[in-house]
Amino acid sequence: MDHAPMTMAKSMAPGATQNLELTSEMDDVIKRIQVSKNVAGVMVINNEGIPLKTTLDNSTTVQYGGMVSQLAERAKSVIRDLDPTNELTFLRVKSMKHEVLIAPDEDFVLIVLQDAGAAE
Amino acid sequence: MTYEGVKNYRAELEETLKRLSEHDGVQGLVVIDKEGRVSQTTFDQQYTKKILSNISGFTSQTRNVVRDLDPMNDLSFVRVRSNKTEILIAPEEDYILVVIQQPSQD
Repeated sequence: MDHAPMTMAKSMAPGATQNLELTSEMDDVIKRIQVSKNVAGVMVINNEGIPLKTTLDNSTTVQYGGMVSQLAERAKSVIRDLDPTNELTFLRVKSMKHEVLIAPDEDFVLIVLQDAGAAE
Repeated sequence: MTYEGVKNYRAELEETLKRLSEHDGVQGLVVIDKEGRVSQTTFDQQYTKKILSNISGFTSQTRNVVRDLDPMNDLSFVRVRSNKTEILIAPEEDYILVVIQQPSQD
């Protein structure tokens, strides 16, 4: 999975974090990730744990949204605690059944759920 | 296991960890036993303590998230990537292996 989505997101119009507009560009990026064979779903969750965009059903999104964005926060502080000049860029949680890819950004977190056996 | 068996096992383990820690790009490693204590480390004491206090809790939280989302699922591996490092966490039944390396080229 490449890091284009984050670049796309950052180049979006700067603005209020409250009403984050997901441009059609971001939609395209999400679509591109989503059609990848092993990808089960893509979610964009804001800093309050609220889903902004998702390709999964509501209950899965709500479940993942809260827990995974909290985990991302924890990972951020682990990295900073080990080295205050360092910053989290990516988190991959592999379990028996899937792999969750977590790309944190300033205003939101991008979460991709894919099959455990998927290639890098 | 016999006493000889344990000695051999120990030697082989240390050999493997040494080889791993000398691998290209690896900054060091820590093995945390199931009691939450450090059983092996290639880092200095201060940094090892930091790793222990941060990574043990983080690994538990990650494992809990996986199990909460699906009780039939379990954590198998974690990669925490940052600007300067990549932390690989391999949670096993009796220990957690933590390897810190330069971020790999994706």
